[in-house]
This record gives sequence, C-alpha cells and structure tokens, in this order.
Amino acid sequence: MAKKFNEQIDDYKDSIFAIIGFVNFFRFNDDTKTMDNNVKIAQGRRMRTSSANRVTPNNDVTPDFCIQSPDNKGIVGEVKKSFPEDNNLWLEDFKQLMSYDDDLANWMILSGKIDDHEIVLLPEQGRSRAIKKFFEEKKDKEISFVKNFAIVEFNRSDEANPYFFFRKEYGVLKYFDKVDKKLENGVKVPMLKLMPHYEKIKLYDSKPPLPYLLHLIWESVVMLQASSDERFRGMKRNGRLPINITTEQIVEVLHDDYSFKKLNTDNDNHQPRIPITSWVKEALDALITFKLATLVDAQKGEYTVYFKKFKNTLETFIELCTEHKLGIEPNEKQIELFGVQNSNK
Amino acid sequence: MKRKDTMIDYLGAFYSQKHTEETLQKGIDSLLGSHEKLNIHLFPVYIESIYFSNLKSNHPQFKLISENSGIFLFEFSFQIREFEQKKSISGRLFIVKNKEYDNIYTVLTLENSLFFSRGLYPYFIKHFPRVILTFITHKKLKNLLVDFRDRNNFKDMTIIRTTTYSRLGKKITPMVSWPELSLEKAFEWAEDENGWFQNLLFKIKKPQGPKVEISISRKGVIKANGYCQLLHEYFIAPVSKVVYENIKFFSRRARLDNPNRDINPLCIDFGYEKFAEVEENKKFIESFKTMKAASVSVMHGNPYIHLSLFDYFDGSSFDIWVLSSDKIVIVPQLKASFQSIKRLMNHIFDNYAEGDIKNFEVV
Repeated sequence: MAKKFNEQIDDYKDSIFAIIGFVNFFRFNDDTKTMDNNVKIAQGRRMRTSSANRVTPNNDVTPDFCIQSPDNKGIVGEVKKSFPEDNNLWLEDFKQLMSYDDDLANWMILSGKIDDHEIVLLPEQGRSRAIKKFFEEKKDKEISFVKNFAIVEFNRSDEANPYFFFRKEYGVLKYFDKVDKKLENGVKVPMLKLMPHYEKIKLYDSKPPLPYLLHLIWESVVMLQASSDERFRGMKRNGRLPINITTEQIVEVLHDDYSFKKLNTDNDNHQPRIPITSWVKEALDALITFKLATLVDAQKGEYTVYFKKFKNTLETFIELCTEHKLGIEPNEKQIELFGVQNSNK
Repeated sequence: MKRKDTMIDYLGAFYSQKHTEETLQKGIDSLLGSHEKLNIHLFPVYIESIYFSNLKSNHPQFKLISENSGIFLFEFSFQIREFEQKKSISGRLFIVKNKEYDNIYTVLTLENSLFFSRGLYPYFIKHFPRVILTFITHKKLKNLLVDFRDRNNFKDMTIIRTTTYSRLGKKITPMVSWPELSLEKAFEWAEDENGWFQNLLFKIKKPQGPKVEISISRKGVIKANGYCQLLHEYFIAPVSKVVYENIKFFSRRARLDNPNRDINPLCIDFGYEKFAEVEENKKFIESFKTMKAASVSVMHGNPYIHLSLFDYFDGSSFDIWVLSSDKIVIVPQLKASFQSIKRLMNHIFDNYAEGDIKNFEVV
C-alpha cells in the first residue's frame, strides 16, 4: 500500500503540474516573455449548465481548468493522469466532458457568458492513442460534441533535466491559433519552470492522497504553531506538544498559501474553497486514530493535535495510513482484501 | 584561568588597559612574541542583539568587566567534570564589535586550550541559532590561505597537519607526508577525495621573524602563537564579511516574510553536470541521513528529486529540488529562518558537495 500511496502522490503532483503547464500556454506572451494577465484562468470553477445540457441540466460543473481570452473565447477541460484500464469506464469520463458542451455561465466577466468555448481533454501520453481511438469509435454515437473538441496528451519525461511534454493528439484549437500551432509538434516545458508555481499550488479541487494532505497540514499549520512554543526546540523524539487547532484555521492557511487561489483570476463565490473542509476533517480524524489528536468540540471543529518530531514525516503518515487502512478508497480496500491488482492503474 | 606566574602580571596589565582594535591586536602580538607558550584563539561570530544584551547584563556565565568603543572584556565561567569531580574554571575573553557589520563580532581569548575547547567554544556552538559561526567553503579557504601566503611573502608556509573529512563520512589522510604537499596540492588532493579540511595547521617563518604556527578551521576558528594583526586582516575581516553577507542573503526568504506570500528560492549551482548520472540522486538523498534534528521526506527520488525538510531547531521548512543536472534548488516555505538556511547549506556542503550559492530566479 505504501507504494500505492507514493504513486497517488506522484499522480496528484503531476496533475497540478499539467494544469499549470497547460494554462500557461495561453497566458505566456512570446513577445514580452511575461504572463498576460488579460487571459483569465480558473481551476475548479463552478460553471452553471443550461436547461438544455444533455448530461446535467441546470447544475454546477467544475472543470479542471477554464481559460478565457480577452476577446471572450474560452477553453474548459479536464486533466486525466490515470484513465481506468477497463475502457468500459471511459464513457463516464467523456460524459463529464460532454457536460461542458453547453452555453456555460459563470465565466469571469460581468455577464457570466462568453461568445464561445472549446473543450479539451488532457490524458497522459500512455493512454492518449487508445483514448483517441475510443473517441473516434464512439463519435456521434454515445459521444458527441457540438462545441469544438480537442485532445492534448501530456507526459512527464524521466530524464536528468525532466520536463512536461504536451502535444495535440486530436482536433484543432480554433480560437487559439498560436497555441494550436505550438502543440501541433509538441512542446517540452522544463519542470524547473513549473516548479515555482507548484510551490504555491500544492492542492487542487481533486481530493489529495491522505498522507500528502497530512504532511502538508503537519508542516504548514501544526509545526508552524508548535515552533512558537518555547518547549519546541528541546523536545525529544518521543515528546508530544499539544496544539489547539480548528478545521477552519487549517482550511484558511492551505487555501491562502497552497491552492489555485494565487493563480485564479478572481476568487469570487464561483470558486471553491480548496481544501474542502471535509478533506481536512478526515485528515484530523485520521490523526485521532493515530493517537496524534483529540476532538475538543465537534461543532466548532476544535481539535488538540499532539505535535511530534518524526524522522521522516511523509513516510510516517504513509505507514500509519497503511496500518489503519485509512485514505484508501472503498474499491482499493476490496483489492487489498483479495489481493487483486487495482483496475485503475 | 588563575595563574600565579609572571605572565599573569603582564595579562593583568593588558586586560586593564582601555583598548582600541589596533592597540588590542598590537598588544596581543607583543604578548605572543614575549611568551612562547601563549596562544590566541579567535573567531568571527554572529550574535543576536537581544542575546548579546543578555551576555552583558545578567548572565550566569558571562560577567562584563569593561567596555571601550565596542571592545568588551568578559569573564566566562564554566564547570567540567574530572575524575568524577566538578571543577570550576574561569577565564577572560574579548568580544569585539565589528564596525562595518551589524551583529557581527570577533571573539578573542589568550586563555589556554582547555578553557577554549571545553568551555568557551562549546558554549557558542551550543547556542545556535542565537549565535552563529560561519563555515568557510573549501574554495574560499584556499583563496584566503593563498592570499595570506603570497601577499606577505611567506614562501616557506608549510602544512603540518590537517583534519580532513571525506563526504562519505570518514576521516582521510594523504599518502604523502604533509610538508611535501604545497598548499595548492593539498587542496587539490582533498577535492579529489571528495573531502574538506575541518582543520588545517601550518607554520610560517619570515627570515627576520619568529616561527609561527597557525591553525584554521572550517568554522573560522583560528589558533595561533603570533601574527594577530595579520590574521585579523587576512582571515577575520574577510570571513566576518562572509558571515554578514550570508546572513543578509539567507534572510527574509520565508513566505511569511513576504506580504504576498511569494516564494524566494535559492540554489546551489555546481557549474557542471553534477547530476548527470542517476546514481548521484541516491548519493544526494543519502547525504541527508546524518542530518540531526530534522525530518527529511522523499516526495520523489528518481529521476528527479523532491525532498521536504523540516528543521526541528526552529520549525523552518524547505522543499529541495533537483530538476536540472547542474543545480539544487531550495524553496523556503512559510517559515524559514536564515539560521536554518545556513544550517542546511552547511549540511549539504559538508555531506554532499560544495557549489556556488545563488538566487534562483523565478520566471
């Protein structure tokens, strides 16, 4: 399970890198070599579907990214680092994309509506050909788009100077000609350029692996508060320092300093507050299970967390999650029980 | 140390004078020239303002005896255990405020090695991060020594002994005896062995002057039986500058120091493809195993490196990345003190490799 958690953390980080890398194609001005703030972007924004929506009428949908040009053209899309092995399940992912095939509201403009938008799927390169084939087979049958649709594959290269590679696999970005041309033959974006963005965005609107979230909470909230106590420095390895904390405090710190809040053009009420309170509550409940916290007031979300100095904090949380079978999705628990290989990988 | 020989009279008279920096150094040189067994220990140090105020006022171990234009004479007391009995020792030291750089001082004492190595020096080391000594890079140490030798025409400057550590964690010695190695060759040898001098003892003799033995450590601690003025000019002054510049460079890097919470990363640039081979990743990650009072989590180890480091001295934290074969990028997180950055750099330089510390430009 430890390996599985590490893979999940890797996938989670890669998805953030891919979102940042992709939206930056639209923000980066090749002439001035700076980011163009006139191009508006949003991650996980609540977009409103119309009554005519074929998948989910009059509802909120939350694309992984929304890109809005100054001339009121847009892109919405999804990053899919891991598509299920069973391609019978792929239709669900396409249905999600089809829910964006609508006259969506809540764009970053006073009226909330723009002239038109395109839909982009960003699958990992290893699956992109098969996904394209699947789409072409089902096109105009189970899968259909009225709006323009494109597939842009991405991949993290495993080299000494690693980079993210983006290449268009299917379709044309008709409103974004320059980016379309770039993606035609593929573009390598060094991770060294993406890393500074990731450093401020360690969470997006997908639930993070539990040990990853626990590590971030431990570092950015628990240790930060513990270190202001004069007993902190002298603490031995098995010492415990009680810290009073609320779920709201944690959400606030992580939202302000580690979410897409920094990159989103605006953070109005159409933007979700990431991390979601329930994720943080689940993390704090896990600490209770690990005997590293106690609940003080459930209604107020008050906890006492017992700070400890771990030698390897992430590894400790991975071990504790594995031991207590926490942070494992229900289907993974089944797989653990019966020793079947995970079908999602 | 309480001594009842004639030297104590000289020292008593010397301590009772109102010194300027110049008379202090000249006076020490004069004492060293007249007393064969007398040595000076001196080192540059950063001392936090409040902490220095505490030393001057109500401190259980430090007693301020006199002060004159930034030169403070203290008595320092401590206890050691000998043959299961406690023994009290006290001695004198000067702490000289640097005129150019805030919070930088030079500590000097003419007391014996026991006073220095069992009492005074451990005291300063123990009080990190409120008190910080420097670390002199291998390259810098070589340049300081070569400059000292060449500009003073010390042609017969000879290495007597070194304490050299390999970055693989063990002490190493060269195949040939030290006097046969020139300064340059000695540094070359240490570099080839992926090592560094923790301490280097050498002797010099001017045709008309006395034979002087000087040792200098990576932490900038000097012990000598002469040339106090020269040592100040060629080692203490430039190293004080390094201490000050490092503190300035490492300061205000935390995200909480920045009103818009931006990151302020720095990097260690090797200037060559240090991480060309994947094997190197393993070596780098392994080098953190010996780091005390820290949590090191491997977020990703191969082919790129992403570590998360928590410093249990003060709760600072960092992300450490290797995303290109020529550099290590260090991203200070919400809290990151300059003391902690200095400790991290020190650890990497001692246990992995040295490079040039630079600002990492975020484009």
